[in-house]
Amino acid sequence: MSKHHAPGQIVTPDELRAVAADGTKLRYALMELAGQIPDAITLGRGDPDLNTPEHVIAAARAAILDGRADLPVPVAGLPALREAVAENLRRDNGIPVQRDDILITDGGQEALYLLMQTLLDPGDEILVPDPRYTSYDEAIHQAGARMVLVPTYPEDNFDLRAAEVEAAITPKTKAILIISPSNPTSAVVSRANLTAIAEIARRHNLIVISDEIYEKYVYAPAEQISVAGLPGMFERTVTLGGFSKTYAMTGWRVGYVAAPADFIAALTAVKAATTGPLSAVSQYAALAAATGPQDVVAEYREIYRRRIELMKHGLADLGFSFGEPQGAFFVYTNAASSGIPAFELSYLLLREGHVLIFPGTAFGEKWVDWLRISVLQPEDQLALALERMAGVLARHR
Amino acid sequence: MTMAASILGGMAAQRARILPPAPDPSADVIDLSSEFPSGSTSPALRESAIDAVEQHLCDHYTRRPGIAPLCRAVAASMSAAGVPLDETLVTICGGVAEARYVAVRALAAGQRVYLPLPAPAVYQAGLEFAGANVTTFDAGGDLPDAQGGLLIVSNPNPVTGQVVAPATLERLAAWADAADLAIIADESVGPVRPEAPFVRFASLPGMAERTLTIGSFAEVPGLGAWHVSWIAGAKRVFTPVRDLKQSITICTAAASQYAALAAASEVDEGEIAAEVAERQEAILSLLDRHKVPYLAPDTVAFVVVQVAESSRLAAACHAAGVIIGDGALLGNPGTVRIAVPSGSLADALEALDAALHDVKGR
Repeated sequence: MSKHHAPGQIVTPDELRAVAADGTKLRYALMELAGQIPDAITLGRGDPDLNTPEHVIAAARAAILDGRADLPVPVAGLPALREAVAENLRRDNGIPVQRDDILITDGGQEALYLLMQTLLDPGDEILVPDPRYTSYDEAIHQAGARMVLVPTYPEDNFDLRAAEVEAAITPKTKAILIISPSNPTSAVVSRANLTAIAEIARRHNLIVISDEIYEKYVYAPAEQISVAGLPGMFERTVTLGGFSKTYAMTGWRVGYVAAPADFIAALTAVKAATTGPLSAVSQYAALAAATGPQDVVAEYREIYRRRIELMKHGLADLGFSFGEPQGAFFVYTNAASSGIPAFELSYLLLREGHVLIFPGTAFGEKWVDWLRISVLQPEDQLALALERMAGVLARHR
Repeated sequence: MTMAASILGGMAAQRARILPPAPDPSADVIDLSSEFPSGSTSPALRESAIDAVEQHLCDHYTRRPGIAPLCRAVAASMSAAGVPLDETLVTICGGVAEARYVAVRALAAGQRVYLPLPAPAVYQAGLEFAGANVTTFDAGGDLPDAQGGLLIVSNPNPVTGQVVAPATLERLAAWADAADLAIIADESVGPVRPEAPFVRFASLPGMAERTLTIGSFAEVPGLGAWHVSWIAGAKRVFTPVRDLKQSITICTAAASQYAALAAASEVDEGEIAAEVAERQEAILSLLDRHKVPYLAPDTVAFVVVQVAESSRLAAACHAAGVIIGDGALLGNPGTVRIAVPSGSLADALEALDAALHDVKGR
């Protein structure tokens, strides 16, 4: 192992372990390490390998060429884009929104940050399913609020059980966070649990935050249901969505929040004073995505579905188990049969097999036997990654 | 319009209630409330941005600090200004609002913050959310007793358009050194007039190791709407700010970064300043005709008018179809700020003329 690395680069297990307590830092440290390995197959980050659709590229080109990209847009977003997002949410999700109920954000991540700052007071508690995308942590921490984890279980494909949600409620609870489809588990919350959680929220006067960033990638028989579309729920639900995952547009940084207009006004005030408006050119690109042909989404969905199937079979051959992925583009797998803790295993897979996979501990402290594998590589690369994994396991089992 | 509070609206956090509503200009008004010059980007810059878009370079997350050549360009620019930096100490941010917020929010947390007057309101959210204790002071007068904390130097000041005199900067630097202060040097306002005595704070003796500098590409006319700025500085002050930026927005929109890269390599700052200055002169002439006093500008981006009833002039301008910045809200009471317009210059001048007639005629 080379000791001759640039300052700040992380290459040793000990250096990795030093940041391992922070899931976000751990993921980026592993990505940094993978960046030093020329033939690494990266199954880590949730950044689609597919291209932004050509009609979106053409729209961005046109906006640059005719000067619209140079004109300021309101903090809340380009009015036409807000309208388009509202229309899509009404049509596809049954959420009764109008243009003023939409805020355009700098990706889904910013949406989360603004939301936590606008909703949570110091001392408030927010319920978060475990395992979780740990980038929620910092946003909640910055608001001075406390995250309370709600367990989920592989036996029911990591569905969010309404009873577990209710058991976690205290007098300080202000909100319930639902991520469906889930990162990292790819679980889709069932209609029965979602309906019951909605009823719990009403009964305890709680806000529901519904992160639906992967909403277009749900695989039958699972069904995507928006909480805000359930009877009486819009007025207490914030829906987060975005263009990054749906249209392979992570570099354009466009997300959105849908909620009642007065809350959106408060959120927009916070955005104006903190992060400011999103670039005009990105918003014109997103407008084309929202209003243009949607066949590409079905095409991408089929690609991800096939890749997930390939990965599931490969993992089963390695003796790994998993909750059935119902959405998104991850397989969350239990690697206990390897006899190697996931943190060490992910390091070995990267150093020896040149395959980047995130350990479950990057998504919650207790997931010491689990790995999150994203399938954002072509099928031949996924097959090669599985071969390499088999080789590493054969040497160390 | 007053809306009935929804359940969600009624449960908004206390910190969200202290902030003023976001401006929401309609399409039929000329918005001159910004601190950056409007205008159009050059054909060369547009072509560079289009190339990047068509090559699918903008589809995916960039490196979190920003595309390497842009970070290098910022580092080179800082080095040329007497602040040697390598690119690992640069992070590209969204618009300057984001850069200011993450800098203040990260460095002011739980700190005593020293803010020379007039104190721009642009730091309010960062200071409030960070729970900072703020001390304002006259940089030309007695400096506060201090031991540790954060000093924010706005140069040029976004609510006066004036640079801080080099002698004052040197005095502040000596004080900051003795009091062991971290410094945010907000140097994002521009372009600066060539004759203005602008000095980067981090270039002063001993300041590089305690200063985070904020810069922006919005001084390039038309690039303001692309929302791209930067932070750079010593590791001690840079790292927490970089980490916060990345936790909020991961990275900055790729297309904006490529446009900024084109600006960094293709745009002549002197030419820009001269071109915008011509338009600024038109506004100054109008003010002279009306015998309305204004602050001698060191930046060509805007004009700051001295007017006791700033809110009344702002309202009259709005009625005439132009939105200007009311100093009472910006942090400089008794003034209004008028950004230098571009294609709408004639319309803007006509509307301002009407508003000034209206206010002065009463």
